[in-house]
Amino acid sequence: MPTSIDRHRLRELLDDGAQLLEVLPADEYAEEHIPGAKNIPLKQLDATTAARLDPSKPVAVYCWDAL
Amino acid sequence: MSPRAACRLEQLGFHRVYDYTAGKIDWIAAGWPTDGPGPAEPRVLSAIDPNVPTCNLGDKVRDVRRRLGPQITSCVVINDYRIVAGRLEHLDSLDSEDPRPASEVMRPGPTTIRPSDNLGEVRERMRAKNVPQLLVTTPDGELLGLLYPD
Repeated sequence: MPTSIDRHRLRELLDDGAQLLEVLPADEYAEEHIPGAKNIPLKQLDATTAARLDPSKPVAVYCWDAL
Repeated sequence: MSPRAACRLEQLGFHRVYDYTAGKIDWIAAGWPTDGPGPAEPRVLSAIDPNVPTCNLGDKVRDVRRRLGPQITSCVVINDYRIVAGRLEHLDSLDSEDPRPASEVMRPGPTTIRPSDNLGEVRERMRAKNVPQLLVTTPDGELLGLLYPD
């Protein structure tokens, strides 16, 4: 079960080397994203695209808001 | 969307998956840095005046008046973490020796806006309703500054 975190915990995880993934469409990512984030839109998230991430490291995922 | 993505990652073999549920809007609203050119229309973040007179919940009115001087007639009441609790207004009309703490005199729950809000839309509403200034806070209520209509 994924762990829900707030931005303070996210910063700690990033400082400790976690990966960050934005799952919004590419144009929204290009406009503005959290520093260090990679982009794989949700509809494209599969084994092939996820190969860009290291499964041995923590990964934090985000979109636009909680809705 | 991010909960579904987090579950998908677990299905794909990722074992330590975290969901930043509040998302990018929360990060931006906190005034934290981002990469990229940003939105086409400016946000409130770009126009915040950080120079806001403040006092603590426990500060006595008489001490606040002395510290701020006669020219400043209102200030924002905050706690130790800069979370906005209320406003002290019409300081000049209060007794200069008033011993009460700000928490007893303040008007609680002032209207606040987020730095991620659309600057043009907020200023338009301020002008339409003749609002001279608004407090800008993070989603957690931490004071960032003031926004003026012009």
